[in-house]
Amino acid sequence: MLSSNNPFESNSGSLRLGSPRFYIPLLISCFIAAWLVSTKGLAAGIALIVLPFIIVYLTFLFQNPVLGIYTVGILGFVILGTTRYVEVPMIGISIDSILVLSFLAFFFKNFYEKGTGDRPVKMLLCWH
Amino acid sequence: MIFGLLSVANPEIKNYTIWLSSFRTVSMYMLLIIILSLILINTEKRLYYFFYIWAIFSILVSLKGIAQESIGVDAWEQAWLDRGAYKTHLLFGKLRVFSFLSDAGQFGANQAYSGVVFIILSFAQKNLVRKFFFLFAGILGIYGMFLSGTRGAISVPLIGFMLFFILKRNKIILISGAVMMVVVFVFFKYTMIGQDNQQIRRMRTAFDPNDASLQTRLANQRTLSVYLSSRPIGRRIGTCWQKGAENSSQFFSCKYCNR
Repeated sequence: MLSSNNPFESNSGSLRLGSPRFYIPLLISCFIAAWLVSTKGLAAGIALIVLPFIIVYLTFLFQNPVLGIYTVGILGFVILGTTRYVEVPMIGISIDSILVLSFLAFFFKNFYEKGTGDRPVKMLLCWH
Repeated sequence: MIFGLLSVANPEIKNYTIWLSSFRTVSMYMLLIIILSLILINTEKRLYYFFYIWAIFSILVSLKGIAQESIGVDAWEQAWLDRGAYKTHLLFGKLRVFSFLSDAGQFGANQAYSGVVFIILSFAQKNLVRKFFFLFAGILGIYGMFLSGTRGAISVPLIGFMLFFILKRNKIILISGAVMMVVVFVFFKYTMIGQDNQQIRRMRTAFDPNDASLQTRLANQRTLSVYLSSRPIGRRIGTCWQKGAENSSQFFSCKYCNR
């Protein structure tokens, strides 16, 4: 009873790794990663290395949707030249997906707020 | 956007995958990017972040272009040229610089546009570091445009700066700007100064009404206008795409693609 209130009684940070509860998922994910690399080859390995960065990027994107616009600006410069050096399948879809994700991020971020009002709509009408 | 959506009903479309992939770039990007930018870039700080990213990449593109001009292309770029791009990118033994963008046309247009934006932006800066940074990006952009040998791109700075001078509504700036534009125009159209420079020589042909390239383009326009007169809503979007061309190389209009 007392232990739940006392911060010195519970483990935190890397100390948690001492418990088998955290070892088992770690081992399972290691096995899955090893199985993927051995069956699917180098591409799967690279994908697994890139995956954490993508997750971190997506977290930032959902916190700050304007990142999507900046990324699209950078990708616009980089993508076309990249295909000259390496064959990346479906690379063109990345711009589409980031645009759509930015929209989703904006939508979720402003779900419970009043949002931007009709200002963007008016500006869009002016633009067109 | 509406045209893109409606063109799905174009009876000439045989392959809807090509329609979809072209629809993305022709219509969807434009709509999505405009809406997102209007909504999300809503403070001056965010706008400047965007300008910084753009300027840094514009400088990188120009520097890569300068490296291509002075050092030469690398193995992968040479392979790309050998696959067929040499027809439009090696003219009279001289490389049309394309940097790490898709082709020299895009490099020229992009750098001309970036050059105009950053030079104008640098005029408005009070912070000296920022001013020189944008000026540097702008000048490199205009230089990149000349390296690319894209003649169409030269109209971008001419018209861009002219519009800026008019919008400034300052008589002295307008008059001096107009004089500068006239000088640039006369330099290209009526003089032969710097003719031994490949870039200047190529840009100069953009002002020549008897230029062989222009005459070919006009002839193509006449042929296509006859062809399109029986097709009121156009051939279809995506006909000239690389993917489209593979599947529709038998089509008459594909002959006129620049790609």
